[in-house]
Formats: sequence, structure tokens, C-alpha cells
Amino acid sequence: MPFLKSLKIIALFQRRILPLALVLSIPVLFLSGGHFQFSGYSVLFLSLGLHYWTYNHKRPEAYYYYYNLGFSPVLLWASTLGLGLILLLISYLA
Amino acid sequence: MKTLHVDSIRKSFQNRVILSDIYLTCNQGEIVGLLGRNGMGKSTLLKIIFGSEKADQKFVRAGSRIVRNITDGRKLINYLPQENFMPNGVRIQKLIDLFLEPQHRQGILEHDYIKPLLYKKNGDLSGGERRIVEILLLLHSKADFLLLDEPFNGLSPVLRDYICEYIRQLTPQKGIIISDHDYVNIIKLSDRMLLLKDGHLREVKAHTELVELGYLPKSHS
Repeated sequence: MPFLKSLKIIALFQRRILPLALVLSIPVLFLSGGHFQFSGYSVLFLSLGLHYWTYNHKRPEAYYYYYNLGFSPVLLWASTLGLGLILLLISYLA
Repeated sequence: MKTLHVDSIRKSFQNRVILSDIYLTCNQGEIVGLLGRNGMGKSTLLKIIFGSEKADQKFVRAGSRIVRNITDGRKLINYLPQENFMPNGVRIQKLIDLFLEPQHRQGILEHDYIKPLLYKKNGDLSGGERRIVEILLLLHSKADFLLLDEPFNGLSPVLRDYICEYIRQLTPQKGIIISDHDYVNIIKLSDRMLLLKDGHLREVKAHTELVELGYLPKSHS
């Protein structure tokens, strides 16, 4: 599968996770007095929680669109964890 | 011609054996009907073959490739779950573009049932419309083998007949294992029928056997 298409599929999977995690972490940024690291951690944990809530709890059958494209549960969880860690790293660099 | 070879599947749940030593094959160009009463493990069996459910023991080979998990079965085995599986809030056209290779898209994009739905979002479709999009997505996919779990769920009788005919047209390219409680269509569509009962799979040759084995009531004999 071309790399670009894989990225598009991951983006489709993440569209209900990452944007919401980012929005929800804005109050954390203010409450922590502008410490980006706190915000970075909140994005990481919120995205893992939202992943579980959206796909495992609310609509498990939605996984099958991605399974049929060859994306395993491990890969989908890794995408959430990986993106969260990247944003955490960015928060340390900011 | 490729063969889907399933052997030695065992699955137990809370000390209850659901599937015991299951063996089945499906050739490309063949439709295998899978029947069984509620709770007998039909969906579990299909999910184990697909790789989304773990088994105590399993051996699945599609063509020459051994399928241990979902990733191994990529582009070889696709699975239609009982519930609608397409992501909500996304246009059908986009879902088709991501799901199918460019060379496989044309047939579905120009399909009479799909064309009016292309610019709608999945959440805006009725249950039946979603189902037909999903079935056609899988039928047009590159996969050599399809596992269809209650495909007729939510479809009107006219659409059921249409889907049966459509599946028949595409059969030479694919091997299909189909499970549904609409046994009339399953009997009509299948080249072979299997009945899952008490954890065991047995081949059923005649309609009367379904009555004898307790799948159909005696009034249907």
C-alpha cells in the first residue's frame, strides 16, 4: 500500500481522536500556567482515552473498515500512541 | 485457482467449547453457505478466519499464504460484520476511494444504487443504504475471499434478490463464505451448505437435513 494512502487512512482513523484531544488540552495549558509539557501529557493520555472510548467502547464495528484495509488493532493503537508521543516531544521543544 | 483452507479451529469461552476441530475449505468461484442457530458461533468462526478474533488453535491458509492475523490476510480476505462498519461523518466517495484500488473503483462509482449516495455522508444514509454500500465495497475489493456475516440484514426483499444476483455474477473471481438467517437466499445462493451445531461443522446436502438437525422447524419439511 502506498505510504501516502496509509497516511490518509490513519488520518481518517484519527480524525475523531486527535483534534478533540488537542482542543481538550487547551484548558490544561491555561491551568498549568502555560507549561506546554503538561499540555503534551494531557494530549497523550486524552488521545489514548478517546481512542478507547470512540472505537472500543462506543462503536467497535468501526474497526472493521480499517481491518479490511490490513490495519491491525496493534497498528491502530500504535498510531494513537505514536502521534501522542510526537506531540509530547514537540511540547518539550516548544 | 486459490483455496481458502481452514483447519483445526478450536475456541472455548468460559470452559464452554464453542468451536471444536473446525475444518472447511472454499475455492475461488465457490459460495459456501454457513447456517446455524443463534449463539452457535458462526460470527466467531468468521472472525477467527479473518483474524480479528483469537482462537485457542487455528490454521488458516489463503492460496499459499498462511493467515495468522489481519495483516497476513490483507488483500486476501475481507470480512463484512453484522453491524454497519463504515466510519461516520465521511462522504461515501472518499470511503470508496480509500477502500478500493483505482482499477476496482469504476464499477461501484457508476453503480445505479451507489451513484446518488456518493456525496452523502455515511451517517446520513439509511441502514439499508449503508448495508448495500458495504456489500458492494467488499464485492469490488481486491480480496480473493469474502466472509459475509448476515449481509441481508436490513435489506428489503428486492434488494436481497439483487444482491444475490450480483454476488453470483462476481463469484468466478472470489470465494465467498456467507452466513445469514435468511436461509432461503442462502440455500439459493450456495454451492455447498454447512451447518454449525454444538461446536461442530457438518455438510448439509438436502433441505430435509436442516429439519432433521433441528435448524428448521418440522413445519418446513
